[in-house]
Amino acid sequence: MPGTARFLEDDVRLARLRQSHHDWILNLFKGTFDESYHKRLQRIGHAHVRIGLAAHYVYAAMNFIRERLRLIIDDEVDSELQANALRAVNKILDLNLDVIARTYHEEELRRVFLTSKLDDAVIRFAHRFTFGLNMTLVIGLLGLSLGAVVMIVIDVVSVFSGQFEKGLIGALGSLLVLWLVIELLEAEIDRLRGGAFKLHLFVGVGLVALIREELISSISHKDITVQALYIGGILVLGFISWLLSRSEGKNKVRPR
Amino acid sequence: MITFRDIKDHYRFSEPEVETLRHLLPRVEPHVGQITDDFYIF
Repeated sequence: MPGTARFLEDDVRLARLRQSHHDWILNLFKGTFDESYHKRLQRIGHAHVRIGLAAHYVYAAMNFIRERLRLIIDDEVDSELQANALRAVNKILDLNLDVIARTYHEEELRRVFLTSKLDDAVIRFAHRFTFGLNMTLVIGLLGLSLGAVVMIVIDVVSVFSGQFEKGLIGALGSLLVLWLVIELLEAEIDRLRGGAFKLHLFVGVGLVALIREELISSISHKDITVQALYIGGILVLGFISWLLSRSEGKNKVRPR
Repeated sequence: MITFRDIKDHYRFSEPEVETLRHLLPRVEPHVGQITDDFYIF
């Protein structure tokens, strides 16, 4: 059988296996079928499982032995005794197969159980880790919102310290950032409560950043090319944001 | 936990059948070497 060749390459091992099978066949006819015989069969099963021999080959081998023993009974046993002899041989072979095959099933169950326990542990860890990451994100967003408030305060201070135009435009940009951080924070809280992921908000981050840059660059009298690039970026991101908002709006389940 | 006694009972493996197997030993024994050899070229 091709699937068993890799177990039979070593001569020493092969000789040992031949002797084991020889003894096993003889023991079928020695009439000592006690608990120690049972344990010996279990050890045979575990040995097959340990070396990774598929159960299929055990069934095929048993069929081979059964057929050879049947031929011996045909040739060697008086015809009136053959039926009883065959029945007895079939039963002891079935008993052997039962015990050996059960070790395979028990081993498979043990592996499934171990895999399932490992899966549970990994999933539990992933849940906790994701929860930790989400909390970090929420705390980060809270920090950003505080930072945006500080920026507004600084811009307002600039207004009253004589830099009226710069302070006012800067405050507008900072308000935009604060609005966006609030949106992100609400979206994250909504997502933690089972809501959908809102992709358009992340495009909004880029959009607001560009709008703020454009507001500041307009009063800083930056090069027209740079301003054109900002405006182009705003238009592109604005269009993408609009498309995403439309798409996410369509996917919402409307209440009846 | 199922014992070997239980397994034998489930198969109705009786003492007369054990005796039948014992009587088969001298008939089978001379062929076992050949069966084992054939098994490894199977």
